[in-house]
Amino acid sequence: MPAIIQLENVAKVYQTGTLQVRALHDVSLTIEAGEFVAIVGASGSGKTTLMNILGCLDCPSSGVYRFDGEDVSRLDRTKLAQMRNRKLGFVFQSFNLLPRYNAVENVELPLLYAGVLPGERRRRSVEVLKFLGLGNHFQKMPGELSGGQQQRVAIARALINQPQVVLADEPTGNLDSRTSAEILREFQRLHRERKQTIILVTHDPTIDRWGPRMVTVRDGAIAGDAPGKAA
Amino acid sequence: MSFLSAIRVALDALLVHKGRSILTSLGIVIGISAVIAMVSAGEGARLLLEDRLSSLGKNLVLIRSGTPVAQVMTAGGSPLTRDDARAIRQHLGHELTGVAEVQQLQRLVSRRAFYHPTAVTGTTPELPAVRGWHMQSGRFVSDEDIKKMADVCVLGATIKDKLFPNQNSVLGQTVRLESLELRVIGEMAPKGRSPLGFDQDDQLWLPLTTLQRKMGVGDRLTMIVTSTPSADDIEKIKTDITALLRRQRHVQRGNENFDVSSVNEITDLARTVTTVLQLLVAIVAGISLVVGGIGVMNIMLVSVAERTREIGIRMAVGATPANVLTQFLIEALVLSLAGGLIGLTLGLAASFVMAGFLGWPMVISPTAILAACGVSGAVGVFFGYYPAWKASRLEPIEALRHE
Repeated sequence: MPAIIQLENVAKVYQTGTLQVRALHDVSLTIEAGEFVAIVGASGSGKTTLMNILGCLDCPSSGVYRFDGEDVSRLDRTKLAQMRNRKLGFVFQSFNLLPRYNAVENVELPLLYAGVLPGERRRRSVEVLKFLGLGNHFQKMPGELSGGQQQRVAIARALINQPQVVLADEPTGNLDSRTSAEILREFQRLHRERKQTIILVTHDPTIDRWGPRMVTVRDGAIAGDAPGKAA
Repeated sequence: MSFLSAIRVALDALLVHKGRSILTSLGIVIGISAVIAMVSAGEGARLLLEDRLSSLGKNLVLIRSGTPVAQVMTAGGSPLTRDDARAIRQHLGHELTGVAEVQQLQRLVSRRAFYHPTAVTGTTPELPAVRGWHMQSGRFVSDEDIKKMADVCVLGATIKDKLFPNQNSVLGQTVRLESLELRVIGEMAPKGRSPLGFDQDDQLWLPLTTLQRKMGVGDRLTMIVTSTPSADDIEKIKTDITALLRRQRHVQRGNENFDVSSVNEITDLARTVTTVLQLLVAIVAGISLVVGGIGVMNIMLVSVAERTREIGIRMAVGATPANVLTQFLIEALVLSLAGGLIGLTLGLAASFVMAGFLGWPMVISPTAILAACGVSGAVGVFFGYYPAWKASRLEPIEALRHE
């Protein structure tokens, strides 16, 4: 399997006033296409920083980040936005749906910035929403949907551009345990049925049940890396 | 992102806060409508004025006695006489459309039981040619009438209606002026009011000699009226007339006891006044547009702050800084252009109403309309740019964390 993500000696330092905060130091990590990876760790361990860098929302202070063989550590804001748009899909803890847009419009959003025409946008969004079992909720506003349904809309939005990697930052953090299990099952299904590369950051103690590779982050460095159970 | 999609996104965002959007546009609405209404009013007033000025006669040069003091003629000095007119006719006649002598009095004119106070003007045959006036019917005073001191007169439209209500032709009838019985030989075509509001049709013309000799009012001319074929010759002819009359009347340069002026000077003055007025309006409107623009900028800054999270989400799913900049710039542009269009409509409506009330011609200036659209667009871009730029500089992770 080819490496889709390669981090080499990546460090991230935040400057807050005179105080330097070293969020990550010397992280090297390789993730192959089709892998299902869970990043776990205590809060403040640096896993969210790692996630932001992996998701091209933030740049490393030093080190090299190669995505699909291309060095993306020093891209400008526009290039990073295009990376996020075309090669990555995001799922957030707080869903981050636009409250004034209905389900289909939220899912369409990345296609708007990819320059896809309206008819095609609608067709693809409907298809993905159906795949996630939201066939009856196209026109609903986020406020009219349950937490689990909102997160499915967010997953649909992450999948809409057929990204090479889907990143999820605590996707079950705001959900009850039953809904959490449903969402995690959804990720597992994506991984199994579509060979989708998935990286998720989680606190969920039951995560190992779903059989991902477990990367543990502690104090800004990788403290453990257990291979996933064969799917 | 296509331009159309960007406009839809902007409209959606503006419609969420309808009241706020409308209030924000108000400054632009007022500015633009003021510009449109005032430009239209100014143009209307100018056209009306030029219309009245041209009714006085084109390229008219007036010669009056007295000394010009601060633009006002003081009476006195030696009066203009027929000799002065004769000299002008003799030396400069070939360069002029004619030379007319005018002696004007206010007198009561009557016919049977009808009495009407009017301007009685003794004059010479060239007056209609000099002033560009036309006869409605009959003829004007002739050289023959002057020589014979004939008891004839020409009536203006207003006095004709007063003395002969509901009569079509009055040629051959007589009117009484003091002890004189005057036979009507012509009617003037209506000319309307002069720029100063004087009814030019409320006049009776008779041979100058008849007035001077038979009514015994002396030979003091009110003025000598002449005009040039082309406006370009006015300055030269004024200089020539002044030089000629100085010799004729034996006065030194600087001590002239007469004044040579042209109607074009009044026209120029009127134009200057309208231009200055329009400039003032433009300044006021400009200030209002700047204030309106600041309103747009203010509301866009509020909007960017309120929607930080939305911006974060859009950036996370792939909106480039340019996309975000465009989105907010279009919102500002739509706000101010909508204000501009509403202002344009209101301004046109206002000028229509004004034109109706004041009897001015309704002038719609395409330049003003284009300028209104252009200026409101420019205001939107100028004042919308800073908030839009601020939005585009947001860091996605910071923006996403914003509550």
